[in-house]
Formats: sequence, structure tokens, C-alpha cells
Amino acid sequence: MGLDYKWVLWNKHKKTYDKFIIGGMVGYLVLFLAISILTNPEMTAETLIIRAFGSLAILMLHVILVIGPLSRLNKNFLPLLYNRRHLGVSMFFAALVHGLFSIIQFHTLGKVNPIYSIFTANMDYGSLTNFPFQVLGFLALLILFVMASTSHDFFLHNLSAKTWKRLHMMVYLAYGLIIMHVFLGAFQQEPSVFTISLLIFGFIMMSSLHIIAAFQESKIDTYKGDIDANGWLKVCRPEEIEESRAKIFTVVGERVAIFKHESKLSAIHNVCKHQGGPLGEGKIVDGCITCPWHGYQYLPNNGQSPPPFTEKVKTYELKIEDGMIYINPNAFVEGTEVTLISC
Amino acid sequence: MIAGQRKAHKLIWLGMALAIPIVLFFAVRNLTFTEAISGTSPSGQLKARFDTDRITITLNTSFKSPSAVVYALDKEGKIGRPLGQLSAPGTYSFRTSDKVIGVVVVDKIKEQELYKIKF
Repeated sequence: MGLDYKWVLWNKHKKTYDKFIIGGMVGYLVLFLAISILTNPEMTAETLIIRAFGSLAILMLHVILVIGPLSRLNKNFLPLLYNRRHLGVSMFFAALVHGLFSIIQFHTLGKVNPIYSIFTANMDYGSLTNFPFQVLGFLALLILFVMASTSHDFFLHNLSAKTWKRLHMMVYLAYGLIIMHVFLGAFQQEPSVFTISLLIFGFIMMSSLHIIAAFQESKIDTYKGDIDANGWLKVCRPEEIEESRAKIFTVVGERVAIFKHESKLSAIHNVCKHQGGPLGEGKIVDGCITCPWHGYQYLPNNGQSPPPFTEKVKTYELKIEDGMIYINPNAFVEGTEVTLISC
Repeated sequence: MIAGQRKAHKLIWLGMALAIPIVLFFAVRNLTFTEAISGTSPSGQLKARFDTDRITITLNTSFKSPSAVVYALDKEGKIGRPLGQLSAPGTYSFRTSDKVIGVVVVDKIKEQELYKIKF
């Protein structure tokens, strides 16, 4: 959390994460160049750079996109989410090197504007097989540019979390364009069973993980518990909640996290105001509910971030009857003070 | 994520899982796969490869001649239509709809045959 905008709010974890990103990228490039030079010594330096950075970018995009469903399916992957933003921006730079070298190599030697040349060098728009695949890559690069340049809390706060999320969901469109770009490019330039098999494997793995995670989440979203005569929802026994942790329940289609801390219970909306992280998967640190994604904090008694921060989430009323916790499904407005109940 | 965003993610991935394989299928169904054939000049300066509808030429060092035009050799071994020019070392790719059995590189200024490679 930060009060003012800085290029990067560095901390120890982010530095470690970024060292892994840089190490991984350099390691991959060195390995790719070594294998390519050994197996195909005639390949020119430009082609080597284009292929090395292009394959690095698509590999990184797969890693970025599987982190989400993997951490939904297995919490051990949650630490990978922590600095995914830097991974995304690094992937954009790899894609940019690939794009720039491709434009220089294939589109700057003629008389026409290189960007115009991308769209007109191959005019076979009517054929799926011979479709100008470079256009698809160029459009994907534009989307990645918009995403990378808005990957900062300044844009997140000023565009609103909802708009920002919608904008960043364009990564799926970029992914579709990139799959077609590589697939058609591989067929039109140099048919390679290895490249195409790898791409198909990546797509099957990616879409399967996303669909499995989505169905698992739908099951939770459609859960309907027992409701008492006053319309309160019966949830669980206090002892089912770990100390300083929460259990998540679906209340009128939205997720609510019920926390237990020092024998007191509290309930807040499960979605972090920062990037929509699942607050109920975090824990209470220094008396504050702490988001597992980026460490944003909220007070259990009013859902407000501790001063001077201003983020607020909805709070809910709880009661205990016959050793069972009940929740009032009607949420209070964001930041409303509630009485913590003893258990 | 809120419930609406989770639903949007699910619909997007279901849509992509259906749409991308369909588009890929239609993109490859007209392709014909033949085994690539290739040849190299005696000096090793030039390597040519013919695969389905594409001739790929790898030029390892520059020609001393000021002009180098590549022609396809048709199935009767005759010089066919020009494919393009070679200049700096690198990989050149030319598309052709004809069945070719080799390539000829000609210096058009001196009207001199530089290389003839039969696959």
C-alpha cells in the first residue's frame, strides 16, 4: 500500500520476484540462442533475435495466464500472483523486441511506411490459411502496450477498479490473436511440427485450467445455505474457522469472508478494493485483515483501511445461535462500523 | 473478483476453447503436406529448399557479382519465371504455385549463370 504514486513500490519480496523474472528471461534467451546456433548455424542474427524474443514472450504469456487458475485450484501458487504485474510488463518488453526487429527486418527496406507495410505486404485477407499473420501480432502488441502502460496503481485508482479490470481482460483477446499469429506464421514461414504441437499443448493446458477453475468457482457462487425465519443465513460453527483466518461464504451471489481473531468474529465483503484479491484467503496481521495478493489491509470492525489509507469494503452483521454463526445477507454500506461478536 | 467478472472469465474461456480450434481447423484443412527437398551449391555458399509452395534460399556470403536474380527450374529443367533478387547474406523466402525441381541464380548484368541447384 502507498499514499503517493511511485514508479515501483519496492520491497524485499518484489526484488526477489524480479530477480527470478530477469534470471529466467536471460537463462531462456541464452539456452535458445545456444540450441539455435548449434542446430541451425545459418540462421541470421536478426532471425535469431526475432525467434528468441517471440518464443520468450509467448512462454511468459502462458505463465502469466496460468497463475490465476492455478492459484484458485491450489493455494501454494498464490505467491506467484504477488508481482504478476512485473511479469506482464517484462513479457511486453520481450514482445516489443520481437515486434520491432520483425518490423525492421521485413518492413523497413521498402518505400512505404513500415506500419502501412504490415497491413499491405500480404493482402490475402480472404484466406484463413494465408491470412497476413503479422497483422494479428501487431494488433496483439498494441493491446499489450495499452495493458503494460496502465499496469500501475495510478491508473487503477483513476480508471476505477472495474474499468481497469475490463481493460486488462483484453489480455484474452491478445492471447487469441497471438495463438493465431504464431500458428499461421509457423505454417506460412517454416512448418514446424514441434512449434505447432507445443502451441496446441499450451492452449489445451491453459483453457482446461481456466475452465476447471471457473466451474469450481461457479459451484461456490451458486451455493445456497439454510436461511432462518428472519432471513439470516446459517453458515458454520465458530470452531470451524481458524484463528486469525477466515471462511468464505456466498451471500446473495457475492462472497463474504467471516474472520475469527482473538475470539471475536467479523464479516466483510471478500473482494479487495485494490485488484479484487480474495480477502478471505488472507489472514489478520497486526489486527488488520491483510489481502493475500498485495498486502492491502482493512480493519475487521469497519472494513476500512487503517488511516491514512481510504479504501473501504462492505461489512455484515453476524449473530450466534445454538453454537452456529448466522449472517445477515443485507450488507452495510462500505466502511460501516459493526459490533464484533464473541465466540 | 466479483461474481460478474468470474462469470465473464468463464464465458470468455468457454468461447475461446470452442472458437480457436474451429478457426485453426479451417486454416489448415486446405494445406497439403509434402516432404521438403533441398540442395546445396558445391562451394556451400548457397542452400535452397523447396517445401509445398515455398522456396527458401540461404545465402551464407555475398556474391561478388553486382546482380543475382533467382529463377525457378520447372519440371522439365527449363528456366521458369524469376522469383526475386539475392543481395546480402541471409535467408530468402519465395512463394511459388508451380512444381519446381531446382533454382538458377543468374547475374543479369553479365548474363552469366552463377549457380544451378537441382533438388
